[in-house]
Amino acid sequence: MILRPQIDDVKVVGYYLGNLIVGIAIVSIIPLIACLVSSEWDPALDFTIGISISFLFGYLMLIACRTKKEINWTHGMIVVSLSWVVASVFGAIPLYLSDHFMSFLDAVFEAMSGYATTGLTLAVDLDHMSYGHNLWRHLIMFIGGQGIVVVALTFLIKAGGGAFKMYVGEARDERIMPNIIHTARFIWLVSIVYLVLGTLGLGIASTLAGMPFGKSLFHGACITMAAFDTGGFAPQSQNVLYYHSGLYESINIILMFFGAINFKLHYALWVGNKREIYKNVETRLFAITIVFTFFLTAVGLAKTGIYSNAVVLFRKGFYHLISGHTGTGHGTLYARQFATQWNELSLIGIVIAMALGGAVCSTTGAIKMLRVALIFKAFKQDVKQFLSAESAVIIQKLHHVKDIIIEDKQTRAAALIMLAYILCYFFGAIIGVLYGYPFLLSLFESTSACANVGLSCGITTPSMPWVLKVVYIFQMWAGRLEFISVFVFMGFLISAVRGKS
Amino acid sequence: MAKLKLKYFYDAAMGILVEIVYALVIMSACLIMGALILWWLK
Repeated sequence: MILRPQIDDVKVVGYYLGNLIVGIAIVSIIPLIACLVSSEWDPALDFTIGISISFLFGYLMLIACRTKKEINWTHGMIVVSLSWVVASVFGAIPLYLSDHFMSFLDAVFEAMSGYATTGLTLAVDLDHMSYGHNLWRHLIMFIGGQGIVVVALTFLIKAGGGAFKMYVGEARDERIMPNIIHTARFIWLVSIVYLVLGTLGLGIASTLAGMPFGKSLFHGACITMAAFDTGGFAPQSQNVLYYHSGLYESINIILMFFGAINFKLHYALWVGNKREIYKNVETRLFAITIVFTFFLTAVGLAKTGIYSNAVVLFRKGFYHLISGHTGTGHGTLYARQFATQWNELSLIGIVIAMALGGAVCSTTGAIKMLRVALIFKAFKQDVKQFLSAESAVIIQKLHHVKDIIIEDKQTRAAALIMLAYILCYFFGAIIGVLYGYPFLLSLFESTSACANVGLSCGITTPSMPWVLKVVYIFQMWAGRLEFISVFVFMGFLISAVRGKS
Repeated sequence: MAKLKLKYFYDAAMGILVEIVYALVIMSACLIMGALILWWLK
């Protein structure tokens, strides 16, 4: 029997959301400062309006929703699922005011794409966007990559209480350290270290390619935020193609790899457990799936004959394969080239890579390596069981930082989430087909949205049907949160209508 | 204490290096595979 939610349940959710909106207002001060420093007065006004509205709404919600009720698992899940919607709506205000978006829905799409680290964009005339707005696009991607709740855990919420309940809801169910706040802080430490290293590396690479040093550092910081957080935004409409530098693309590939690695594995490596890199089931499987999907893509591209030299095939084929597999979405091609120059086999390779994703507890989206490994090992266990004596007990292990004995409960959870992803990929593809797009291109774009990748074959444009925009927003949201907290939220809504009093 | 901090820093730097080597190994393997595929299909 499901109980109808009480007013105090709504207040608990509202109170935490109020905190979040105030948090968005505080973070928006960073691009406001950037606008003031670079004398961008109109964008500064956009952020001032956005900050004022967020502060006002946030404080009103904090006052209206004050309650003594403690947060429980259901509240945690609902807070998380709504956090991403609320953050996108309030984060979209300065973007909409920039005049680079044709409607508020487009601005919300952009903000959700940023928070969910997808990277699909509906910005118009991106090349003339202000530094402040561009910084905001990349900053929300950085915040989304860490996880909005991780950000809140680090700065706003005290340990205990609802901290772990919300952390789990945000598709981060691994504790790197015993204390959840320390875990959140370690995630930040890794991200800041790579942000500094990536900014310097890319800054130097683009300076060598002829860009002024100050601008190089700004672009380096933006691209690093987008690459490490497997986002995919870039300050220019040509994305990474703009830089025309092999060195730049190579550094970018390494940053994308870093983003796809489990934070727990980063921790193990950083404290001296170097062997973990080749013992870990995720890094092993990641290497295998990259080689397999690149094989498909490379054969497809070789058959088209558009890249006749191995280095060019690698620069175009491998770059996009890694961009898709890690869920980043950076590109060195124009979107329509996928549809007009690449053949079906090469696109299938990228779609499979996008659908699989990187490691769990990383910044990538999609099914993720640990789940694929779990299901594969469970298959192996069942086959072994059939081949053995009836009374034999077959134990299957996998190594992920430590040896883990596979249980049915874990396999069931992994299989359910995998099934939800596959259904969601096809759901978006069918909607695309209904609007007249070819099936493979529709599947490409839908998988890109749901797996939070951001590669586009040209369907995502400001002129696409609004229904498709809403579908992609839903896919980005549900895919980033790995469905469970979104389903809990939907259940909460249903229980408000049909639950027992 | 300073020695311990230096060890933490050293371990973290080595960890980052291991991650870079991991990425470079996969990149090299795919570059070679791409070259072989082109040679095979010519």
